Amino acid sequence: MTSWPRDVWLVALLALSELRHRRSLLVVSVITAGFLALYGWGAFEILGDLDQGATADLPPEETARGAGFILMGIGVFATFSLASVLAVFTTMNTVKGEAEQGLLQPLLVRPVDRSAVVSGRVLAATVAGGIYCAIVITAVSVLTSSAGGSPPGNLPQVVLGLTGAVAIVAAFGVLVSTFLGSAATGLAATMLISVGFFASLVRQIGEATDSASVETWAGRVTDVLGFNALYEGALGSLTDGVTGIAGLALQLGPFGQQRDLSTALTVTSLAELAILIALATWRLRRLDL
Amino acid sequence: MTAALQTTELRKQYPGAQRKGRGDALGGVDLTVAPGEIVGLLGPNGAGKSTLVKIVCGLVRPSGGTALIAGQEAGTRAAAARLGYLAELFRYPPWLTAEALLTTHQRLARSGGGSGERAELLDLVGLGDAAAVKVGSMSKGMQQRLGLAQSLIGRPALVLLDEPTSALDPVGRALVRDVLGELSARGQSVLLSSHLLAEVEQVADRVAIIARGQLIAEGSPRDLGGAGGVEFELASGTSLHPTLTRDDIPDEIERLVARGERVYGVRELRGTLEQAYLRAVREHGGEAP
Repeated sequence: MTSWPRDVWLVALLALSELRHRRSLLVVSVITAGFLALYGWGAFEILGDLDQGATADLPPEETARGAGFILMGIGVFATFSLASVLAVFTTMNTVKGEAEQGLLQPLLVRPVDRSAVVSGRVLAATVAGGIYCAIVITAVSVLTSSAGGSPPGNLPQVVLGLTGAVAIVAAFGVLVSTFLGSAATGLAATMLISVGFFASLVRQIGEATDSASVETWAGRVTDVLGFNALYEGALGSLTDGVTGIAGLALQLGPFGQQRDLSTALTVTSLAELAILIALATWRLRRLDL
Repeated sequence: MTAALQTTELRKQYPGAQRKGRGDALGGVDLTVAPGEIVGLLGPNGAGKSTLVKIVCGLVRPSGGTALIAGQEAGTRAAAARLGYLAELFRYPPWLTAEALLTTHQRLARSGGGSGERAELLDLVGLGDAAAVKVGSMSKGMQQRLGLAQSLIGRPALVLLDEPTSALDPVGRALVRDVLGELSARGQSVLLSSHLLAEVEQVADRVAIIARGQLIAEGSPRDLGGAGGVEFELASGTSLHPTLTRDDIPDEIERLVARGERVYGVRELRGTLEQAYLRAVREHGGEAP
């Protein structure tokens, strides 16, 4: 292995070890277990009562399909929210926070390029977030089908979209950490994620009310916040090829706008990730520590 | 032979310093550390010592001038590969054992020393039995000694030590003095920043005193201390002659004997480093703002 990828991997391993020892994973696991318990309970209750709500226009199987997809939409929304929290916690003290504690300096005086330090931290958050998304989405899918819903078949694409979204959240976190301390970075990154969700909802409202300007501007915000575009892409993957009431229910659901997880979106997201890492590296090189 | 460290007209002005009415943190410092030389860096708080050390190890960017480590520009990976650094305020991940910490830094420093180097360094700093002890379980003094071992990984040409004995007891301080002597014997150079003048006086080949960002005095502790007079042991007791120098001793003995005194002993006195330091700092504006 040449030195740069080896350094990135070494920094990522250190960050993952920190995540394990700081018990952030434990906190996220406990919260996730709580979410899955509630999700499972809700799924069994909702899908168990569906026969009572069936009408001639809405046959039971179509209702079950729609309800199952809506539940999965909730699952994707919650998974992305929790994975983002994990990514923010992994990256919020990368620069200023660790420098204030004296943890960063021993690393930076070694012959390791600053871009490797930044990339390693983003990689660690992405690996942790990706594994987390895969586990939770799989659990949500199993719970949904156990309760009688029909889960989508393209879960790997959903996980991939969410993992990409987590990577961009992590890159935002590292960039912000070059300006602010840990708490302020955590706050800023969390608020940025909320802005993304809000913009996605506003865009959906714009579409529903046929307001072109609202839809355009909210769309631009979600385009800029690449993590949100990828989250919308993951939501889109969930209903890819799904028609009828199930597709309609999700498109009008409360989880934000959807879009195709297209090649163009993948390319622009990778470009955004590269730009964020480059900016964070540039900033780290200019900082006096 | 290439100097271990050579700074030329090294300057640093922190952003906003002028607006706050502060001068340059470093105002053009020329300093050379020869191979195998131990140089003590002294100065009041805020004099610019830490800034100088941080520029040399690439944590702070100079505003002007140059700093070369074994011929390589400070802040580059080539320079980082040639230096070891122990910061005044440092922390290592508390979950790492001494062995694991050194292994990590060996990888970062690209040292091929392996387990032999780790064992040798731990023995050198008196932690031979603490390889499996976690950093979080160590006393501050043990952590400082571990930090010293970490700074010596890869046999760097230049070792920068910022207050390396601040947390150590007298035994620990004696150990550090021995380590410094061994480094010098191996041809490794040390730049030792400290407020403990007696410590510096014991180990340093040369001393550089900085005040208000300027190098105000430089020389061996003996030369800087200057002549302190001559003390004669007579039948009537000791007699101090503060203005006499070594060259005056034969004539003075002759004079005393002619006067009927019996001379039992003669001692040439030197000024202490502390006296020289206080004199130099007061002459150049006293304590930094």
